[in-house]
Amino acid sequence: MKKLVVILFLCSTFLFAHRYHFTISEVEWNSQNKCLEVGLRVDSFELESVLSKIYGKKIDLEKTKDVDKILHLYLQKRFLVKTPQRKPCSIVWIGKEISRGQLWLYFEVPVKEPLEGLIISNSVLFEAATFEANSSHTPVNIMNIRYKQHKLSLYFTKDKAQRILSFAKK
Amino acid sequence: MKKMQFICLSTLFLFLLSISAQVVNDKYKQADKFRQLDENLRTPNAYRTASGAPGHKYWQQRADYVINVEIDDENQRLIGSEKIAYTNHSPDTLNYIWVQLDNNIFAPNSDAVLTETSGGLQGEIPFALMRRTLARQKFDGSVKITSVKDAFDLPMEYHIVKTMMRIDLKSPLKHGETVSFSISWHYQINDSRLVGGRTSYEYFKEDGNYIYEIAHWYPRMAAYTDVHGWQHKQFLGRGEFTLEFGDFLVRITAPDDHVVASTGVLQNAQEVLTEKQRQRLKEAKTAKKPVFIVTPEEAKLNEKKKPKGKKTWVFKAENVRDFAFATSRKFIWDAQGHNVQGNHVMAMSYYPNEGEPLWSRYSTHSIIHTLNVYSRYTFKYPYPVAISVNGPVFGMEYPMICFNGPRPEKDGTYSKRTKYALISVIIHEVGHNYFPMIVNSDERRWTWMDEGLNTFLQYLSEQEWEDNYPSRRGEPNDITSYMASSAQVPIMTHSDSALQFGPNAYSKPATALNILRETVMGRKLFDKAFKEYSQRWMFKHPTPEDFFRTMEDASGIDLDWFWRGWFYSTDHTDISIEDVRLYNVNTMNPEIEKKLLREKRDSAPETLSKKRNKNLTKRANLYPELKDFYNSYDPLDVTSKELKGFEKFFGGLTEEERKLIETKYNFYSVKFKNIGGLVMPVILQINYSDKTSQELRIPAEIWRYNSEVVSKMIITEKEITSLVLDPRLETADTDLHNNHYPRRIRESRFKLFKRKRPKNPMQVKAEAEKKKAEKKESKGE
Repeated sequence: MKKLVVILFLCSTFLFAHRYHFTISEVEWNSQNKCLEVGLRVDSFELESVLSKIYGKKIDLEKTKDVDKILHLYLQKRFLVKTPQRKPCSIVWIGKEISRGQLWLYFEVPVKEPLEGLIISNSVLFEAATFEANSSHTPVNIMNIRYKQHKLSLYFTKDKAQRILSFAKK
Repeated sequence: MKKMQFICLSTLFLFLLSISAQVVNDKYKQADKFRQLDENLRTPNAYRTASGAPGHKYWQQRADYVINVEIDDENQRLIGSEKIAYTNHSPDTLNYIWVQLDNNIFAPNSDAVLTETSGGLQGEIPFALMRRTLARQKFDGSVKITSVKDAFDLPMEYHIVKTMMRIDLKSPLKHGETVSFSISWHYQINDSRLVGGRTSYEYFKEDGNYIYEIAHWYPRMAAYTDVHGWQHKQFLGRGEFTLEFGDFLVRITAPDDHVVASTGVLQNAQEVLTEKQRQRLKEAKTAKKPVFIVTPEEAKLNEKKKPKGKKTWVFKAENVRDFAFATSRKFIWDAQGHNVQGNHVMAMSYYPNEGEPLWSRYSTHSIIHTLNVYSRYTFKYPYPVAISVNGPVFGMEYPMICFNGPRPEKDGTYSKRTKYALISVIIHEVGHNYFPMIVNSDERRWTWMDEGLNTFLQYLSEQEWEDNYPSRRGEPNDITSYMASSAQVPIMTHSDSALQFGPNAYSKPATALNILRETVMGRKLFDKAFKEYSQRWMFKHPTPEDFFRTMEDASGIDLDWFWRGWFYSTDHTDISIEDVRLYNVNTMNPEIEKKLLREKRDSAPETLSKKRNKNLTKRANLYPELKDFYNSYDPLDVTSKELKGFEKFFGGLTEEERKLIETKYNFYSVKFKNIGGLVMPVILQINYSDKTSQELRIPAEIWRYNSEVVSKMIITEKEITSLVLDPRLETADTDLHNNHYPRRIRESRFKLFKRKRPKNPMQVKAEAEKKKAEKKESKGE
C-alpha cells in the first residue's frame, strides 16, 4: 500500500446524519522509553467505512485478516510526527481495542528530547466527511498531550492539519 | 481572650500546583460564574413568559398540504405537485412567504459544495474519495420548479434564493387569513454511493433493485415565528430544519410491486394491499410480538418481479411538521400494535433481506421500547404509527418515520458493535419524534435543543434495555477528553458553526443533562421540570431560553451558573484537592498540651549529624562546672504558675464551654482548587482510619464568592486516612489524579492497555504449538 489508490466501491455507503468525524488522541511522553505513547480513539464504523473504500473491499476491524497491519499502514499515512529538522519518526504499533463501538489504537512514536518544535500532523478520518456526508461535517481531530508538567491541547482540521509543539508559557 | 480556643497545632500536609487563573473582573480578578443570565436571555413578553412557558398571546403559523408524488423507478426521479394552505396566525401582515427547497443542496454550485474547504490530506487522495468529490461537483439533484400558481390556477411571482424560495403574494395576507397555492416540481434523486445525504436511493447490484428513502422532497413552508420572523437561513447541510405543523394528505405513486412506508396512516389498504396482508395487519394490532405483513420469503420473491404498472398509496397525517417516506420492492414488513399510555400505536419496520436476521429481531422491539420510555419522561406519544426503515441513510428522523442504516454481514452474522449500533440508532431516531418533531425546536439554529435532549433520553432508554448496555454517550466520564481539549466552542453556538459537531451538540449537552439530573437537581426535581418543558412546548416552537427558564421555574433551583458554565462557556470540570490541614482543640491545660508538644518533639527524627556527633567527647561533660540552670531546664516542663493559670481560666468557663474544650474533635481544613474553571458541586468521599467512610455532597454554590479556591472544614472525632473527590465519576472531572488525598499516580489508557495487552499472533501460535507438542508427548506415553 505505497499509495492510497483504490479501484472500486463495493459496499454501500451509510450516511450517518449524526456521525462524529473526529478523533481524540491522548498523548503522553514516556521518559524511560523515550517515546510518545499514543491512545487514539475513533468511531469504529467510520474508520471501517473509510478503510473499506480505500481498499475497495470490506475491512472488518474484528474479522479481516491482518487488520492490524492495515491500521498501522493507515496511521503511517495519516498520523505523522517529524523532528524539528523535518525528519520523519516511525510509528510503533502496540495494539487495538474496541469498546462500545469505539476503536482505540495504541502506538508509540520514538522521539528525542526536547519535544519543543516537534511537528505533528493528524488527518486520521479526514476522508470521512467527503465520503459520507454532503460536506456538512467538518472533521476535527483533537489531541491532549502530557509532557512532564505540561498539558497541551491541540486540534487538527482540514485547514490546519499540521502543528508544531510548543511548551513555552504564553 | 477565652474566645481564642482554637490554636493551630500542626500543619500536616501541603500540596501545591501551578496556577491558571481566569481574569475577568478588573479589580477582583475573577470571572463571575454565578452571574444571572438576564442579559443573555431574550426579554420575556406576551408570547413567551419569564417562567419559560408560552405566553397568553403565543401564536404559530399553520401549513396544510395535499401532495401527489411519483417515484420514477426507471430514472430514479421524483415528480410532484402540491397544494399548500397557509394560515397566518401572527399579528403581522405578510406580503410574501418563504418556502424551503432543501434539495437544492444537491445543486453542483450549492453553497454546501462551494463552501467546503479542502486540505489536510497532504497530496495523497484515495481514488474513491476523488470519485466522490467529482460526482458531487457534477450531480444535479436540485429542485426543478415547473409552476407556482395561486388558488385560481394563475401563475405567481417567485424567486429562488439557493435553498429558499420567496413567493410574492398577490394581496397581503392578514392575521387570521389563509392563502392557497400550488407548486409543481421534479428532481433527480441522489445515489447514496456517490452523493450522500438525509435522503437518497440505494442500488442493489445483485438483484437490480432500489430502496428509496425520500426526505425534504417537497417545497416546505418555512417557519415564521415571534422570535425570528422567517426562518429562511440557507441549508448548508448541517443545521437541519424546523417547519410549521399541519395536516397532510399524500398520494404516493410507485411501481405496483413496491411496498411504501410513510409518515401517516394508510387510507386505501383495500387498493394497495392483498387480502392476506390486510388480515396480517389486523392480527398485528393485538399481537404480543411483531407479525410479518410481508415475510422475508415473500420479499425475496418480490425482488425478482417486474412491475406491471403503478399503484398509488394514500396516506393521511395530522398535526405533523414534516412528511417522509420510503419505497422498494425489497421490503420485508413487520408490525406490532402497542398501547402507549392509552394511545394505540402501530410500531412497524421495513427492511430488505440484507437486514436479516438483525432487523426482525430488534427493530420493532426498539421502537416500542423507545415509545414507552420517552413517553414516561415527556408526554404520551400522540401519533398512530411509529416506523423504522432500513436503507442507505444511516440515521435520520422524520415524524412517525425514521431511516436507520446498520445491517449484518452478508452471511447473516453480526458483531456486537453492529447489534448495539442498530438498537441505539433506532432508539435515537424514533426518539426524535419527541424532540424536535413534536417539541418543535429550530435545528437550523440550535442543534443541541433536539440532539442534546434526545441523546440524553436515548441514554436513559438504552440503560432500560438491558443491564450494562454499552451506551456511547451519557456517562460523564466519556466526555472528559473532549472537555479538556482546546478545539471547542460553547454549546450555544449556531448549528452551522459548531466545531466538533458530535461532542458539541450531542454528547456534551446530553451529558450535561445527565449531570443535572443525577448530581445537581436530583431525579425527582429534574424529571418533573423536564416533563414540564416537554408538555409546555409540545406542538410549539421553543427557544433555548424557554428550556432554561422552565427547568428553573418548575424545580425552584437557580441554574444560571449551570447554563452559563455548560452551555455558554467552554470551561471544564477539574477540581483538585490542593491541601489538607489538621487542627485540634487546644485544651489550654498545660499538662495535656505540653505533653503533646513533648511527644511531637521526641518523635522528630534524629538528624544525621546529630547521630554521628553523639559519640564525640563533649567539653561540657569533661568540665561539669560549665553546666548551669539552662542545661537541665526543659521549657516543656509544666510549671506551677502555668497550672494555676489554667485552673483560673478553667474555673472561669461555663459548663458548656468546659465540655467544648474537652472534646476530641479533629478539624480538617480541605482546600479545593478549581483548575478547569467550571463551577461544580464538590462531592467528597471521606475515608477514616476505622475503615468507615462518608460522602459529603456540597452544592456548587460553595464557589459563589471565590470561584477559584475554596476551603471546607470537616469536623470529626475520627482520623481521616484519605479523601476522594468525585468518587463515582459524576462530574466529568478531566484530571483524576488530583482528586485524591494522598495523591495517586495517574495511569494513562495507553499504559493500562499495554499492561493487559493480548499476546500477538506469533506468541499465540508458538503457544499453540507448544501445547500440541505436549499433547503428543502425553499420547506417546
